[in-house]
Parts: sequence; structure tokens; C-alpha cells
Amino acid sequence: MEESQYQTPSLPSYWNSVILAGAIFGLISGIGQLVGGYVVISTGGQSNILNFGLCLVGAFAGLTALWHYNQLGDFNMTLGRGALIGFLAGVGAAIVSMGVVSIWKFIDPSYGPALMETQISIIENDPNIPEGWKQTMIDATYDPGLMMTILSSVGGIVLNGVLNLLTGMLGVKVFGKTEKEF
Amino acid sequence: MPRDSINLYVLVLISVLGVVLVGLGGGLWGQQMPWQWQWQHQAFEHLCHQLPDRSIWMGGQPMAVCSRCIGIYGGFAVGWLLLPFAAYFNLSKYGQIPKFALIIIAINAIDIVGNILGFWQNTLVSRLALGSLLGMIIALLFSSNFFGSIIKSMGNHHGRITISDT
Repeated sequence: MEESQYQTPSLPSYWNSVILAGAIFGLISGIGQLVGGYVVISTGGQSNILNFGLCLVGAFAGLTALWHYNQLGDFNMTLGRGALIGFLAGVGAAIVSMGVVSIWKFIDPSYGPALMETQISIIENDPNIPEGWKQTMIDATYDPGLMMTILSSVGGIVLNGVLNLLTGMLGVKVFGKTEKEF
Repeated sequence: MPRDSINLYVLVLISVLGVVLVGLGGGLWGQQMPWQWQWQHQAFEHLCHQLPDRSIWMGGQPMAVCSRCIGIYGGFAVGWLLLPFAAYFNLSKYGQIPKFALIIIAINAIDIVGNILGFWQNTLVSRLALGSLLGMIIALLFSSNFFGSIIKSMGNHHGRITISDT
């Protein structure tokens, strides 16, 4: 029996797109978090840098990765591949963001304790927080606990991945030339 | 529907429902930990401003995301569940969904900018409604991708039934 000469055209690797988008949005998110932290420390008030229009910006890593991947050539894009690229870009962005904040705590060792002290001060002076909750919140600020740390870290990575999975699929719709297979 | 597309549809459905459940926050489950320190809030910390006065409260606690974000996630989940019906009614053949999506994105952007510039004060309900519309229309963009629409062919192909291709 003659073997088929037909070969599925190989697709370019998506890792460059994943790493690029993950790094860009991880840096944006990490720097945003640090700037927000310094705003909290300097003003002594609750603040979140995301208030300044950065809300949901982390969900665009997938879209950006798909845009970059689409520049690599003329090939069929599938929703499944877009979802995978988006998910990986989102996970990468979350990890880079956490890494940026962790590294900065070594560069400026006063950042972590100063932020913690400011947060505790905010809790103590907030009349809207019930008195019964204040000590619990202060204790949780000092020592969030292993389970809490794991849940929030893994939860953040997975959520970022899932949201970018969706924007990755959206990227296929926006940038993809054809969608013939999944 | 090909097996791979079923898998992807179900994967996205489960994932989005999970995002919505986490986004609803600890009030849904009656968690006793102060909401700022609940893992749901921590997990969404980098994705939403989580301002309590711009979030819907449930069980005496604000949700883990703001009203627009929970609208986007909830709307997407509803839209995703409606994909089989959208495909049945062949909504994509009119080619209007992308245009509606652009219009709704523009309305959301105008609403945000107008609120920031002080032209008007949007409300929990208006942000929830606009976010829901945005999430739903984005989900409906995929209406032709997962469930083939049956076309009764005419002319030379009269009598055949074709599954529409994307």
C-alpha cells in the first residue's frame, strides 16, 4: 500500500507569543500592583492602582498573544489552539506578576513591612469594619496561613489563565484568517 | 459536532461557571473571614478594582469582583449556554453579531469615560446591565463555531442537507 504523500503543514511554535504576552502583561500587572502599594503607603489610604483604568487589563494577554502568533505566518487558526495559547499566556502573566512583586521585595526590603503596617493602620482606623473582625484581619495580615496563600496564588493563576483562554479564543475570531477545525 | 469541539465547549462552560462562582465571593457561602482576606478576593486582586461601593453585596459581603465584571462573566456564561439556540436560529448568518459587539464595547467605554469625567454617575444596575450585554454578545460571537447549522440546500443540491461550515 502506498503511503499518503499528504502531510499536515506544521504550525509555528507558539511559545514566543506566549512568553512575550505573558511578560508584557505580567510586568504591567506587577508594576501596577507595586505602584498601588506605594500609593497606599504614602497616602495611608486604601487604594488600588487598578482603579485608574487598568481593571481587566490582565485579561488581554491572550488576545495579545494571538495577535503576535498571527503575525508569524499564513495558517489556519483553530479555537482550541487559541484557547491553549491564551491560557498559557494568562498563566505566564500571573506568574511574572507575582515574580516581579517578589523580586522587588528583595530590592526594596522596606516595601513589604511598610505596606503591612499601613494596611494594619487602615484596618484599625476604619469605622466600617466591625470591631470583632479587626483582630482577625490584623492576624491574617501578619500571617495569612499556608492554605490561604496557596488558594489565593493558585486561584489567581488559574483565573488569569481561564480569562485569557477566553480572550485567546476571541483572538482567533478577531485575528484568525480561517477556522476550519478545532 | 466534532468531539474536539464538544470538549472545548464543555471546558469553557465549566471554566466560566467556575469564574462566576468564585466572582460571587464568600457571601454566597456565608464565609466568616472578613471579605478582604477571603481567597476569592485575593484571587481576583489583579483583575478587578473590587471597590465595595461599586460591587453588588450578597450575604452582607461585597462580591469578589465589581458589578460590571460579574456582569461580563455572568453574561458570558448565559451567552455560552445559549450557543446551541443561537446556532439553531442561525444568528451568525445575518452577520450582525460583530457589529453589535462593537456597539456594546463602545457603549461600555463611553459609560466608563463619562463616569470618570463626571458627565454622569453610573449605577450598580447600569454597570451590571452593560457588563452582562458585553459578556453575552462576546459569547454569541462563537455561535457558528460549536453547533453546525443545518441548511436545506436549494438548486442543484436540492434535497441535500448540509452542515454549515465556519
